[in-house]
Amino acid sequence: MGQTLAEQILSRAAGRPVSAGENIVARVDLAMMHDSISPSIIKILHQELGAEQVWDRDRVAVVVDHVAPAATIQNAEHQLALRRWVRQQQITHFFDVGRGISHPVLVEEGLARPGMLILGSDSHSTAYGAVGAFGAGMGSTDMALALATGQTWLRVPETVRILARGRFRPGVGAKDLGLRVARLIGADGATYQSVEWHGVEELSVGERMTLATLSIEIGGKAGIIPPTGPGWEEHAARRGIIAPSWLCVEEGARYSRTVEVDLDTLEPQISVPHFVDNVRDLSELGRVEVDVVYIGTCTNGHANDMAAAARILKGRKVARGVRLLVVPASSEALQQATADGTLATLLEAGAAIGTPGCGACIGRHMGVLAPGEVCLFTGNRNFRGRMGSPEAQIYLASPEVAAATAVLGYIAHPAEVMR
Amino acid sequence: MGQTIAEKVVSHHAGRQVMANEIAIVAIDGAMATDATAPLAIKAFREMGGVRLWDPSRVVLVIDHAAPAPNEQVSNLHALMRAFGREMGCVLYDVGEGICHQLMVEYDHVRPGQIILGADSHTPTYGALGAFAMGVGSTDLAAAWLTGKTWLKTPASIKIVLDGTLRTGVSAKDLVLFLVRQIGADGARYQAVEFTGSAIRSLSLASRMTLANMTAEMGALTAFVDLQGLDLPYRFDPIHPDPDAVYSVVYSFNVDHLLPQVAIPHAPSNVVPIDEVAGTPIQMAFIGSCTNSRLEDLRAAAAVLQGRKLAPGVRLIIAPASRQVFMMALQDGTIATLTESGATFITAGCGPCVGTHQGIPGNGENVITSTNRNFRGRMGNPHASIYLASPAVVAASALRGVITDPADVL
Repeated sequence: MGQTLAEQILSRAAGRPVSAGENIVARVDLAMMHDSISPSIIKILHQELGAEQVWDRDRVAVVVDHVAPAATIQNAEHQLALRRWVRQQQITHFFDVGRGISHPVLVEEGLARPGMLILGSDSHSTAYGAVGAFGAGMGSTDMALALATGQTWLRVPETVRILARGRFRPGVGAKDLGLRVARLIGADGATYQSVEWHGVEELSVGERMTLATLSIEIGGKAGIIPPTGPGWEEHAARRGIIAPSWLCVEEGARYSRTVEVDLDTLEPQISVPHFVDNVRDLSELGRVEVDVVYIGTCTNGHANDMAAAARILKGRKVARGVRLLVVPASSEALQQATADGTLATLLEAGAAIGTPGCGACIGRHMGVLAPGEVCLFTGNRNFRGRMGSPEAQIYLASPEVAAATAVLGYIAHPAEVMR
Repeated sequence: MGQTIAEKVVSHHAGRQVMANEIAIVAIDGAMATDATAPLAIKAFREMGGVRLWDPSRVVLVIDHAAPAPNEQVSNLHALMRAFGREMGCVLYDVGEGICHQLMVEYDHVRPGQIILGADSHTPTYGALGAFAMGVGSTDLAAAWLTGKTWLKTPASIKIVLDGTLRTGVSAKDLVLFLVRQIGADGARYQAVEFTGSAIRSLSLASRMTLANMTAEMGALTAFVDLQGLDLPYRFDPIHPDPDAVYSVVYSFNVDHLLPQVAIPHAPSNVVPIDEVAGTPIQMAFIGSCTNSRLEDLRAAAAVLQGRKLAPGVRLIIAPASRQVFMMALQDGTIATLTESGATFITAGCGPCVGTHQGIPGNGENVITSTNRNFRGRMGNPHASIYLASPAVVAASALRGVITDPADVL
């Protein structure tokens, strides 16, 4: 009998063949924590678990990304305490203010690799599935336990298979696929399951991260894209990464469900307030005027996302009365955008650029929304109050739709601008 | 009797001959307010029964102090400003355009000989263009919005004659820090400061803005930098003081041997030559503010950091003065150089200068910054220590992790 990718990874992590439904104790390859949750994790680690040292200082990554640079004294204090802790524990992999969002950073640094079990103190840790890892978000106590012991316990999840067929039409991409799946199966459609994305071999690792991060928005425990295809090979060659031969899509693997999406007919998808799975085709939306367009986050703040937006914004200006905020997912994405002219295009169009990191995604700084404001957001969550005022409206869409919307002032198809 | 530049400008705008200490009502040429002050001015304007601005094309609103909004309270104030701007049809620069004073100059809202009011203490910056520019409170600004006029006591003037040539690695910031030390935090209180002398002639507009900007730290009402040697894209008649104009004090300095200067905690006038503080550890470095975040400032930092990496444990945050500065720095490779060294960019605007967001220091941290004020708590945390210096000193210090003379690394 074949295994799903999740079963393969967790079998290796457990040191024995395991299958869906089993409870296992597994070895953790990498544990990530960020500035937002670290104070409680550190407290539990030392005070409640009594551990003096992390289990392996080379397998812990610490990232300052959630409110960076610090917006309040409290943030500054937490970040200072975190830096001291990193020095005291001699943590090898520490990424301070401005390096970017934990998930792309760990991928860029080659720390996240295919076949790994990676735990993160962040719900979008499913992101590591973009490079064929089993990435899962966990709470402070589980994270502290993993830091202390290098182990965690898990129930091996069942797997939902997403099967994309055909090719994306112009102006349609990974974000639309992800939102389409949320629409098809709902926010709890894959609760505690692994989401395997098939038929997306062409997608770059940046685009794969869009799908992997959105996997949590349908309840996924992990979201894994098989590390094959041209998009993967480009990343693997550049970073010198070889996917383990035991990690491959196997005949006879058991899926709880297969969800098919026809890319040939897929049009831009818009998630309307206030739930991620409240998704409509752009053509069904009607006219929605916006105050803010925000391009960023671990879902769609990558170099490819900014470049996609820049192709539409090139030679055009942001509509009067609309502000366009662009927050690169990482310093590497910013550097690439600097080198290839994307950043110049965005600035010329009228964008305000923010420090690489989580930005306003969680409503804690760098673009908090006022009551009544409407925001077109390339992020992953549009819950009431997510980006500030509970009376603000957040629509989720792709960077291409974001760029077209910034130019026209209302939520628009990229073709409306490009024609 | 001869007149100073301030007396001439005030006389011209009052429509009569006015001398120092006389109270005059003057027509103004422009009024600027930021997200820190416009909301109060809007309230005052409404309370005065204001329904329209005296001249919307001369009223500029800038969202720069806490932009993008760090919390819902601020986002509400921004929304209020946008609504007021739309209703009144005045000029509004939104999030990411840059710092108010930079935009006033870049977008040609200020010209030599004008009187400009700004609801911001660093409004004397426009003295770099020979304008009489002064900071006012929100209520005075609201009255000016309504009437196009303001009242003022014509200031007495201090003349500072600067001769010689600044050494390589020594900049207008070092010069003005030195002068703040000499004149003191209240040495120019409610006065106009005239800068002249051979050392001024070679200074760029950006450097002249640095010089004029920090006269606020001497208590000055306004400043005038000699326009000699300044190229502007339009014709103008420089206003010269009369030879027999009366000054409260005249200072003369030769700048040939000036060293980089650092203002140590907790006052901008608490200035020492760099060798007295070199070696002090720093954890955070900031290049930004209306004092020093223009293209030449970013280039000065890039010249120090080119091909090198920041010291471990140091974060260098940079806020370009404006979108235009950001774009120019992008085109000439300055941004790439700085980014490769490990520097982090924040949105063009005031950034952490006023301690509202985007880089609040932690307790006990030392910050070296190209800004203009190091009062206790200025950057948001009363338990941090702030050192003011030039962009080159900030960059050299970020490179070494301790306060460093750029001459030691170049």
